[in-house]
Amino acid sequence: MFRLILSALFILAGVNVIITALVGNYRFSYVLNRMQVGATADTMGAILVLVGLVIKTGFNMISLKLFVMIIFFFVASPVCSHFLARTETIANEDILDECEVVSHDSI
Amino acid sequence: MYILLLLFWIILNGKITTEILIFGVVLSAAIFWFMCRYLEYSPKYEMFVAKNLLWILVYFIVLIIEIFKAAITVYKRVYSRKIEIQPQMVFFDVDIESEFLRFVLANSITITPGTITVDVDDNHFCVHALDYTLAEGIEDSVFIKLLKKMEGNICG
Amino acid sequence: MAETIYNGFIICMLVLLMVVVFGYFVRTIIGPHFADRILAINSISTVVMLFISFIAVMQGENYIVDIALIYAVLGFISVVILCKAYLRSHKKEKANDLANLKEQLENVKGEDKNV
Repeated sequence: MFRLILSALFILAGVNVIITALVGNYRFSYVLNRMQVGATADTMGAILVLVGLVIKTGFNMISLKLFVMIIFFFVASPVCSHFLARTETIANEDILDECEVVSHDSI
Repeated sequence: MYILLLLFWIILNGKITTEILIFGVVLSAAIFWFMCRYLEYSPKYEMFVAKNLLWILVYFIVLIIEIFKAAITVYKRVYSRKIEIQPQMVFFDVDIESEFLRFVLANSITITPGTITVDVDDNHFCVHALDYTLAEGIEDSVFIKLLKKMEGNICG
Repeated sequence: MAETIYNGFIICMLVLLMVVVFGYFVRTIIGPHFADRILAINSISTVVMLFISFIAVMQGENYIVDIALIYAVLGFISVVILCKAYLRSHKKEKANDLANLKEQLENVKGEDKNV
């Protein structure tokens, strides 16, 4: 009983994160800003929902497979957002209208 | 690594029988040989993990705390109408020698909500941030301090 | 009893996720940039993968989680390959170096100042 409530709380938090990503997707006006929220949904939302499902099933083969999926998301979702951001930065001609450039480096 | 590959095979199969176990042992050995021969994997990464187990645990806990802190900041930006966002593109250098640790740093920056690594070239990083408060102090964040300690452990 | 309530809760969550999929679908159609569309497709694949995991846990079947895993891998690979193909077809493929990228950004800034 307690396990079910805990799992429901985790799933509710994850779905909340995903809906927030949708709201942010329509609130911000530029792709790179939308991407920040979308990446949040990919990592935090999916991982929270999967953790909730793992708590519900207990320890068996299904939860082990779900755990493999959590690890996959932890590794793959940064790579996805990095590729998208790189594509947009290189392809867009007037990116400087959208963000300011600050440099602390020595190139 | 070999044990992880075998475990992955057993999890994907869903049950343990003798045939599956024999196939798994043979296939994992083949994949491990392939990784060492062509993908430049070597057992020194396992030595690195064994030496730094405590620091890796601390790193994961810090990473999760940072993810939650940044997520709350992003939530405020999304739901409040008053705060205007100011996106920034930050260029900075880090002085970490090991290539693997720089890869870990880039992935940690990207997985934190609100910051995305756009490009990495040797030790020059280019990071896009949703707001200037998220980009503040990114060139000496807590990740870099922890990774530097780990790098000291490799040599010493 | 508790199981029944839990299953109803999961069905409510499935309906909510369906609304989210429709929202991203609209974004896929109207998205002004290329990256907009790819981002929406990526998010749709994540949400559909969560669908399949929900159904697998509700049914208690083992093999349905495999389908979800394969779906996640396919979404990841499609995003990476589409981005690579788009960059290959784009004219500014030379800017794959960070120094070049920064130089390009600073050039645009200088032109703005001159104007």
